[in-house]
Amino acid sequence: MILVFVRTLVVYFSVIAIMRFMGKRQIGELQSNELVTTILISNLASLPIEETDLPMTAVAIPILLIVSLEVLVSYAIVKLPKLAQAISGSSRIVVLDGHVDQKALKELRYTMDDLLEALRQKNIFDLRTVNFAVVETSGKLSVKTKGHDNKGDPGAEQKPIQFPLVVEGELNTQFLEACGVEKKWVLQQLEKGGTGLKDVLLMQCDCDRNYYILWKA
Amino acid sequence: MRIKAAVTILIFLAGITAFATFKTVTVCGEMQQLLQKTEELAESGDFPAAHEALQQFRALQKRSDPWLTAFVDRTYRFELRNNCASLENYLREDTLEDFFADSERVLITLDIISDSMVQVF
Repeated sequence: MILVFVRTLVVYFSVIAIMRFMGKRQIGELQSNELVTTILISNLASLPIEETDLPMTAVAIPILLIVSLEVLVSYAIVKLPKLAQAISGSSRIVVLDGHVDQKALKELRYTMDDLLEALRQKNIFDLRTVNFAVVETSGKLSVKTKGHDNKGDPGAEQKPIQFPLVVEGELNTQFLEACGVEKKWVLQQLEKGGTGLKDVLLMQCDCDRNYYILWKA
Repeated sequence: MRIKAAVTILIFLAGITAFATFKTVTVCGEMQQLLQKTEELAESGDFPAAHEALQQFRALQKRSDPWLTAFVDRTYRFELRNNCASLENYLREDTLEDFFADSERVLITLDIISDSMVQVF
């Protein structure tokens, strides 16, 4: 039984690591840990049906263990942003103001065809009309086009993109660059309020340096 | 709430795993000792004492059957159960050769069950 216990632990973390290694393309809509849980549970659940010799506890124990781990890992992800990044990764900007970040595409192993296909699925056929495109941690592409509001209404007033510079006390250097501001400037704004990075739940800022800060409770 | 439940489940699983391993090893060891004692008594010709030891062995095997059902592969359990049932007749009929042959099979099955648990230590 200890063997089943240990094997379950090893398989759970190994498959998460493998899924992270495989990258976002294979993940689809689920986060890595959620996908691992789904795969393992579905495979385990089929065992007692195929192998009638197996006692039910040999299946129930690993399933319960995986579910408990999933709950604890999701809790830890909320509490520890760095763990969240290690398990789920972080979103990557791939297009900014019509310019494709080729380095980001390479790192994500997205080809130009993949990007264009994802854009076409959002009814965007001209890359130059893309104001901002980001590959989310789930692998999906979020896009904001030029001259349209978020709902795609061409007549609506264009609102500047709000970049999440700080999330749960963590600076996002990628968004700092996209926004055209420096870390020093962010810290100066926080100092004005007499606080530091740790106290920030969310700090959004646009390219005109209009920012909004939500403090931690 | 869910975190507490998850932690409780983990503690429960760790407990049940340790208990199942300990119990299997202990009971298998106890059954082996009783069977070897029966063999020694049968070999020395003390059939009533051997029969009594065999009854104790059978009682222990029957008592442990429910939790063996929960934790041990059915193939081994069935093998153990069938071999133990056939052992009972031999001492009454004084067919020592068959008795020793069957007891050997029971010991092997007990070893398999016990080894599968012991290897994890």
